[in-house]
Amino acid sequence: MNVTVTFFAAHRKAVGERRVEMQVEPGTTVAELLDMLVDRYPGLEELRPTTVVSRNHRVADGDETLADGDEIALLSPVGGG
Amino acid sequence: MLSDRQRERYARQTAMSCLGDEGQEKLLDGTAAIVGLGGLGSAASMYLAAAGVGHLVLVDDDMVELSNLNRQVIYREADIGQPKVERAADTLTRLNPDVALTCHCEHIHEDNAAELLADADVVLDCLDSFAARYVLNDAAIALRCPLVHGAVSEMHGQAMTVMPGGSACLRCVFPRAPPERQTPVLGSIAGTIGTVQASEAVKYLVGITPLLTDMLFVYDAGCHDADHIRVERKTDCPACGGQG
Repeated sequence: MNVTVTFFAAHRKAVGERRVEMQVEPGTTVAELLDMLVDRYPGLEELRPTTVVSRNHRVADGDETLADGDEIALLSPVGGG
Repeated sequence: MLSDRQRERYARQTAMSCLGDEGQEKLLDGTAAIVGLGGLGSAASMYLAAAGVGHLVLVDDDMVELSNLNRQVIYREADIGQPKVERAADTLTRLNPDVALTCHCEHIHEDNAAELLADADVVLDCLDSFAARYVLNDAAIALRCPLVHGAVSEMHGQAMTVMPGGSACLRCVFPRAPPERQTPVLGSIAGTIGTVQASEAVKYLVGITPLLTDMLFVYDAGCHDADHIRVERKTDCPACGGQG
């Protein structure tokens, strides 16, 4: 099944893409997807401790199971003012 | 009761059915604290003054620097080296002499936050460090004062409104602070998010809903992507978890 992942702020800079499609196995969790993304884009490792994941426009827990067509976004706290 | 001059001055906004003369009177009676007078605070404070919010509390301990001027549009080159609160107050007074200003040339910390925010009906988080943002978040929750968070980095910005006891707070969404570092910022993004914050404060003071509560607004000017991410209050949040 497929999910789309949108990157914001530091995540977008680290990945160099605005949005990607990821193919995942049924039963894959949000945390496992994040592992896959870090494997594909090592620049995300540094951001991982503060990464917030949203699933279908709602902040998600790591143990949530993904569904086909999910819209995932990776966010991070932004400090500038 | 609005004076003839006020009726003329605010005519373009009182003509909105959601605001009217009654809403304008609420604005004129309202107090907003703007904590941080950088790029966000420049935009937010100027629009709040122009809207006729009757009392603005300005908090910042910095001096104006040349490198501020790409985004901190409330200052001029002649202001370099002078306290931001003083120079901002000068601009705001000239913009709208109806607005009373209280200036605190101080850095907000746990020991002075309650005193600095005591008069505020709404607080705007226009800071530039997460450590200070957490202090402000916690103080606003303790005072049960609504907080409008804003933050920017490069071409990205985010905003949300915290209603203490009723919606998610900053720590619920971002429990861990990012490393402290100087953040590059496109000046106009600070204006975009600062004006979102001003809109939220005006809406709250007037009573216009919905607000950005339980909702993180994120915006990226690179592709003009925007999203609203629903967020939830955490029962184990160290700042708001125990508050009913």
